[in-house]
Amino acid sequence: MAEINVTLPPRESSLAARKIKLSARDVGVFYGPANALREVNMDFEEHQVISLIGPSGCGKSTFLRCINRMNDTIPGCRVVGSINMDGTNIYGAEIDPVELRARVGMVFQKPNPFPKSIYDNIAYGPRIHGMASSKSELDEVVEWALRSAGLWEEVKDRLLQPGTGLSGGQQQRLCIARAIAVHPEVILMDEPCSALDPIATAKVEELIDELRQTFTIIIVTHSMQQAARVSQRTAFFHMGNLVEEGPTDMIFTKPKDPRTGAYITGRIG
Amino acid sequence: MNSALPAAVAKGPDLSKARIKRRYAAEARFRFYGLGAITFAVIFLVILLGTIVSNGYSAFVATTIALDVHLDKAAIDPDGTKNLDTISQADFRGVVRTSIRTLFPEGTGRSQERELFGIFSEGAQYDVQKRVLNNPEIIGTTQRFWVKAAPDIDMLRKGYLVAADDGTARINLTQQGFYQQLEKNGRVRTEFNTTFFTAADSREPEQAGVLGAMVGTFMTLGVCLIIVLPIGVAAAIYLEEFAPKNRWTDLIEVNINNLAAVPSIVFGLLGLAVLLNWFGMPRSAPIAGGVVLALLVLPTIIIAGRSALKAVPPSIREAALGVGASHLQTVAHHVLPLAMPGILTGTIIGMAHALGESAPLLMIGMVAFVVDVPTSLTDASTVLPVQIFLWADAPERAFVERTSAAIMVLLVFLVLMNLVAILLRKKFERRW
Repeated sequence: MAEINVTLPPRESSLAARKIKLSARDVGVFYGPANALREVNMDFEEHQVISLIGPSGCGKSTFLRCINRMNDTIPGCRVVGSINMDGTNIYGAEIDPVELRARVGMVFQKPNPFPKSIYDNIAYGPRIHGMASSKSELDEVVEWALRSAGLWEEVKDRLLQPGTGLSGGQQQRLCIARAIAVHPEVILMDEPCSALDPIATAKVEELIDELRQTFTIIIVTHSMQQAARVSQRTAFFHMGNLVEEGPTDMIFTKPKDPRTGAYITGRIG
Repeated sequence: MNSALPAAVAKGPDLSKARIKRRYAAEARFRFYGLGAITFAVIFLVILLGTIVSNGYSAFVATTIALDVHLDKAAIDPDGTKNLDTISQADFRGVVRTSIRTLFPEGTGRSQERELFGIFSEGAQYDVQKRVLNNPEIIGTTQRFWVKAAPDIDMLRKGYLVAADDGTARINLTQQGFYQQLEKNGRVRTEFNTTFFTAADSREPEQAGVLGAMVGTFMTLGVCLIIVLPIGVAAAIYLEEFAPKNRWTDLIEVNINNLAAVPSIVFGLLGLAVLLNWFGMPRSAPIAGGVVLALLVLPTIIIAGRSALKAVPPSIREAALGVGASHLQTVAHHVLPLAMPGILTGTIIGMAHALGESAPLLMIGMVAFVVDVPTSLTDASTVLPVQIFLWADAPERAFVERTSAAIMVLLVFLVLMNLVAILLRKKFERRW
């Protein structure tokens, strides 16, 4: 896309053997007595887009929310197993979920900008994490985040206007910019395009592909076309189980499990 | 798809004119009932306000009589020292009476003189004394004073009393005669009743005012607000955002809801037993009244605060948590500002409730007859609703109009507070 005129420097050479960023081991989630997710084992490589697909209620969003410990905020929710990020278990005693969420950003299904100005939406994260030591540094962060999200040209003249006044697609890119602004290592996206029209969706998808250079992105989607377009790897969840995981083209052309094939061809869902 | 349609489906919807007409008729009836209910409510409101205003508006004016007072040097300041202590000891009653006699130089009998003095307010001598103390230079001159008429003359002029000599009326024909002669001489006029807004309670209706009750009300509500706002908001935030959901918090919630429905007099008894008898707070004081009203309003504010916090969309919390805000930061930076209009509205409505409350204050002695405007939180004072209660109980006709006038003052405060609530809500309201 033409307006994304900023190149994001990769953290390290992305052509070399890819590093495992996250690895889930025997992850299960219970809501009270109900077992919503069972024994998920999965590795996530750096600088890739991994999509989680599956029918409604299959546990893919639940799994996504395990990765930044968002499930901790739900009363009665219990997570078992371990998720290692760069070799450290994020469910370990020494990990603070608040600090973790600065390293693992999240974009939600419905655009949810704060009812504040565009500038304050972006600046909030850097402010609470003490990233910028001066106003000019903060301005730089805001511009960088908005440029990275391909939104700068559209909003640079109205940074002080409320973020809620933008269109749906712009709001979602604002939310992505807000997640980027704290420079996380991983960005989780929970059906980021489900509330957007096709043009806005196309912009966000292009943006996701750009952002892969800098971040590791895990996206939950209901659209298999979207999974095929944006992701390098795909994982299929069904009834709380991880059924199959592999390179996206393999999942869509030669699924190993009959349930995956049935879902992709629209026979279950 | 079944090949045979169920009979009801095959028949299709009944779109006959009669049926549609019936549906519209039902709607029209419903609108009519609604309109009727509102009209009914408006009529009663108009009757209520109309009664209060028509009874009370005349309390805002007072009858005064011009009196040329000769400030006799021999009577007020015989030594000519202009010493304020000497002046304040002087016989102003005599000075005023002498002046009253000069109004009727043709002379009046001894018994008639009593009737004549009776058409002037007992407070006239204090008005004269005050002006002399403010400016002793006028001693020895003759000054014109517009002194208040006695309440019965005021009532006569306003048309509430009829004079008679058979002992059934508060005014006899002699007094009426004096009054009519004064009026003919242009010595009687009606002026704005400033006393009503500058004095505290008094046994004499023409000297009674609502200032004492107003100041008492402000102090009491001030104490109440200072206590209730931080405690109520903190409790609401803790219960809604931080408290674990278990049997204990359920129990607390049920009890808060119950407390909101406890009759207010019970809080008065609590105040009497705990604040006055145990903590030894002064009786009739705004500080005790404020604490009692705070207890009364606290459950309302906690409930309003919790529902305002609950109404903040969860997506905002998730957004803040998602960028790594801590729980407290999420609440303080995002949830609380969004809930603030609701919390403020709840608080002001709670305060308006407290403003109109009298029962619990009776229990802690704020029903006392207080003639001074309170100057501190521990001074004896009363509040507007209790003042209304006291005046409604007074036998004099002049207190009837003052009761209604005090109700009007109270209603003005209520309207102002509700207006503030609306303005605050408009100002802080955020849309998303």
